Amino acid sequence: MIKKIPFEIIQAVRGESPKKEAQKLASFFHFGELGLTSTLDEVKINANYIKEREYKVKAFNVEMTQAEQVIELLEGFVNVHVPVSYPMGNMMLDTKLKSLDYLARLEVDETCVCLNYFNILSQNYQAVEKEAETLISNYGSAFNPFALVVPSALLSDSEIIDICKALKTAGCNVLKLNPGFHLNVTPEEVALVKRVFPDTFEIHPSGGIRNLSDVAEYLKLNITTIHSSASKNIVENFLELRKEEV
Amino acid sequence: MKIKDLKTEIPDVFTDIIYGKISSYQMSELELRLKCFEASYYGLDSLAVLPSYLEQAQKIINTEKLSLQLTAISSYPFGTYPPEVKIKEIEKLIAIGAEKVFMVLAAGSLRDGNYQQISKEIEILSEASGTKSSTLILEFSFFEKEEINFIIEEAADKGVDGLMISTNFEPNFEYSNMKTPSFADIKNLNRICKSSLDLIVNAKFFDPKEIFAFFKLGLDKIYVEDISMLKKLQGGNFND
Repeated sequence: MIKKIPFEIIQAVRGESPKKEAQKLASFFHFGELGLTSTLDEVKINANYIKEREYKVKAFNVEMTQAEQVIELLEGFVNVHVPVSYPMGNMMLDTKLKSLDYLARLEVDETCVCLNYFNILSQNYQAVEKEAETLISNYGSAFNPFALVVPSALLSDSEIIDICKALKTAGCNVLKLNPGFHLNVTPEEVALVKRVFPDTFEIHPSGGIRNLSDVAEYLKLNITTIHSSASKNIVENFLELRKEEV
Repeated sequence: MKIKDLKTEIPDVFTDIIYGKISSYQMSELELRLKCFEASYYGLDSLAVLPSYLEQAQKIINTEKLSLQLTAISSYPFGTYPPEVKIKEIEKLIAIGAEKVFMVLAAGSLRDGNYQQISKEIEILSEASGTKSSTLILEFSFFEKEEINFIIEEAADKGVDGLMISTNFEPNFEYSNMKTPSFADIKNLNRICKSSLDLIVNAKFFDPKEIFAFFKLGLDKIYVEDISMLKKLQGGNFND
């Protein structure tokens, strides 16, 4: 926990009360817990948490098997986000399309699809472009946003640029940098993509964003969507510090 | 007891090793090629691959005329695909050439007490695998004895061939209480499974003595991501 709220955060969320400011801060985040053992009860607790506090988060993340119940539970309060081929990018393209078809039928609001990391690590950029193009042409308009996930933590700067070139050609406009789960984004990676591809991609950083200082680094880069499994703690930490100040 | 004596006692150890690198994010084409050659050269049971590597692995085997079977790992690492997606994936894996299919069970559903969903998943694995060998992957450390017994009974009843313990997906350790099974756990599980399911352990073994010790318990197969110790054993220069 940090002891002082960074200036960039105060500037970004300034409002009439700490509660309103916390709500504004929460609006930058994806909330929710993903993973092997995530249960529906845990998901319900998180959903109630944001509803009770009126946290209009960017989106509520759930696993595919829980999507139907969570859509009913949230009743449109915030977007429901379901990742595909997450976090390892190991699904075949056919399975990704089948998953997207399933999510589209459920009317899930948004998704991120982990690209085939094998193609990426083998520097097969033609295959990366082809996969992205197929995904976008089939389901790009069914979800908003429709993000593609690049494991940038595993790549050199030049590899990140080559991947982004392929994705730009494929028509991608929302990029999630890293899935999380120990593949952690850095502000340098985000800055690199923004510098080389200005106004091309909306960037969603993910992984290793654990506290208010980390968040401030991305706000400096004009990032407005942040994935963090610590989002609840970050907002609570903000609220505590803000109440002490006021 | 010396390692060489243990090897004499369990001569088929190499053929009971499943080799792979499923818990890592990093696998390039070059590394996949190397693993195919290693698994074939040492006569291992099979090479375990994630779905996105399968086609390329099959291509390497065919082009290089390697004697090697592929084990495909479905719904990895979280097991959270809905039934229709699990079916689609398994059917496709078999169509590409997987000889064995391992599928991660939706552990969250079991923790929710949704036994109906679990039964359905087990049925999917068995039916979609058809005549190919099918194995269920279970993150056993989260479950009570009764839940594990239920899964073993259901799996055996529905014609599943094996049970693999733990996904060992490392990044998840930070967020959970996931742990690898103990010697006593394995002994107990093996006793329950023995008559109905093959028991396979996915654990971090770097010491050949440990591997032999597990085999001596009567385990059917072990999944490893590092075979350097076996290479030494094969070369006859292992120093214990």
